[in-house]
Amino acid sequence: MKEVSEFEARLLRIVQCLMHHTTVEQTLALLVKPIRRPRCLSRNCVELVQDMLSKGVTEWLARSGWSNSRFLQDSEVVSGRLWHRHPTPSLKLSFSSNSMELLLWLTSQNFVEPKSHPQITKRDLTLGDRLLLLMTFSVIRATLGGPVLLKQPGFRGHGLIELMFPKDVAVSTSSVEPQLEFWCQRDHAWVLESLQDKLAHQWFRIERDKRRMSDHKDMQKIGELQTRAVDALFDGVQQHDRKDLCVFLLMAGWHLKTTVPSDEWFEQLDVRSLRMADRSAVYQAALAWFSAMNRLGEWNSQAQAVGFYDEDYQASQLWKSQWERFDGDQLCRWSAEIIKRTDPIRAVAADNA
Amino acid sequence: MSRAYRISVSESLRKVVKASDHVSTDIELLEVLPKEQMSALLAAELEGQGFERDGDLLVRQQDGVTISIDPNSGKITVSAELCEEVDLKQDVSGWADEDFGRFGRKRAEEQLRKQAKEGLEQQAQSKEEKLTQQATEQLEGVLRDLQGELDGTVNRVTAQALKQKAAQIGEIKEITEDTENGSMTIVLEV
Repeated sequence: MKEVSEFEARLLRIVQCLMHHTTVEQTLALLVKPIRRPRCLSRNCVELVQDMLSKGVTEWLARSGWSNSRFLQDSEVVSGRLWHRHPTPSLKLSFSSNSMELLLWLTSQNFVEPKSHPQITKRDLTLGDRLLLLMTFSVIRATLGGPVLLKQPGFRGHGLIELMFPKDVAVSTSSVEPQLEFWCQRDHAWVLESLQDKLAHQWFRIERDKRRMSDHKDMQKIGELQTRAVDALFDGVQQHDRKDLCVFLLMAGWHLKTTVPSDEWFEQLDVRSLRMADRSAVYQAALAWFSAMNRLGEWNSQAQAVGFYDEDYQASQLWKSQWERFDGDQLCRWSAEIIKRTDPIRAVAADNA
Repeated sequence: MSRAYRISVSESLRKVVKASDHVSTDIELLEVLPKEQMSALLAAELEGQGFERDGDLLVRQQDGVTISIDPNSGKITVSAELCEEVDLKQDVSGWADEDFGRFGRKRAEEQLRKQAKEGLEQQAQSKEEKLTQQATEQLEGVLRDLQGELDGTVNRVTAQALKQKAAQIGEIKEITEDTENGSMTIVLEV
């Protein structure tokens, strides 16, 4: 049994919440009540935090990365669970003082109305720090503190936060440029690999819920951020030859096509009061995933043209197999049909038919 | 004993209010022939429908709306622009107190002029919104029939391209066109 102070006990309970071991509702009272920050923490507390972070973050990633999957590694296809595909040393996570600073800030401040910012140095953020930021936002985004978190250093422009939670980010803040190249780099791409299921699930939910949205301003903000996030991801994966990291878009589309009736898209969106140019902008934003399918279709056409003697043959074969697995051709046709239906010229003609 | 007195100011504004709206889409042409030839066929068909050359674009004015088409890319832009010169006037009245003398009067007048200018800006804004709505309605009016016209254009261009392609393959023996269901049958001797 290790003894800790009252402040440290609160900090540890908050860490439990961020590691998804307790709910945010159970921890809200601690997050909103400010408490004086001590000059330093005890060794017991630091050791407990280290233990919780190392196990909690690993567990969170493992819950998504446990399945047998195939991804690229140095242009070769490797298969297996996350920890079988990558040697253990390459999966090592380190946490800097930035992580502790975030935890101290969350414990000492009212996270809805903080009196100061956490002293996080963006350029010194380690992979572990960035994952903690992602997990923190994942837990807190639906509370009043979500928009406040996005104003703190390290959260805005995180990349994975915008890619995974575009709806929460878009309605809280404006003109965010997601930085996704970091997550496509050789030493960090395993994180994106492990989050494919989570990303697919999030994007499926967003697109499903967009069908019933009536607020065109929110729709446009969400769609525009989705487009920026996906464009940043596409740039990153092309730079590092890791198009396989975009499979979650195919997964989300396949689930959408098979579970959602396709005859009612944006029926509740009332854009009649807008100029036609503004209506087009709203629909273009709303169709972010559908437009992304065009790009994925182009990649598939390129993959079809790769010969067995070409350098990227393995990569192209992997892409084609994933495309076939999730019926990419049908998804492309379906996307083109939905995009055509929202064409403003056709829409006006159809209204008057 | 102080006395209140009424002050009235009048401001006017003359300006040109502009409003516009536009929408873009693409013509989808099957590449029966190479792209340049398809573009040439499309351009010829559009010129026959009253479109005129303006650089790389083909443009037609219709009911105050401009339709411009790039035959190379197939992009269509339909735009409406309206402008109206407006002469606005805003009268505002208020009260001032004799006790505050000339300075008080000046301050009261400044306040009223500021209110009058704000009123004029609101009027101008309202005019612009109405003009924008008009531009959108003009655009919608033209778009109602435009899709049908474009579909017809695409069908004719495709039919022309098919005939040319067929002539390249062999000798055309017979061409039968059914305008009701939009089908065409070409009999070739190869």
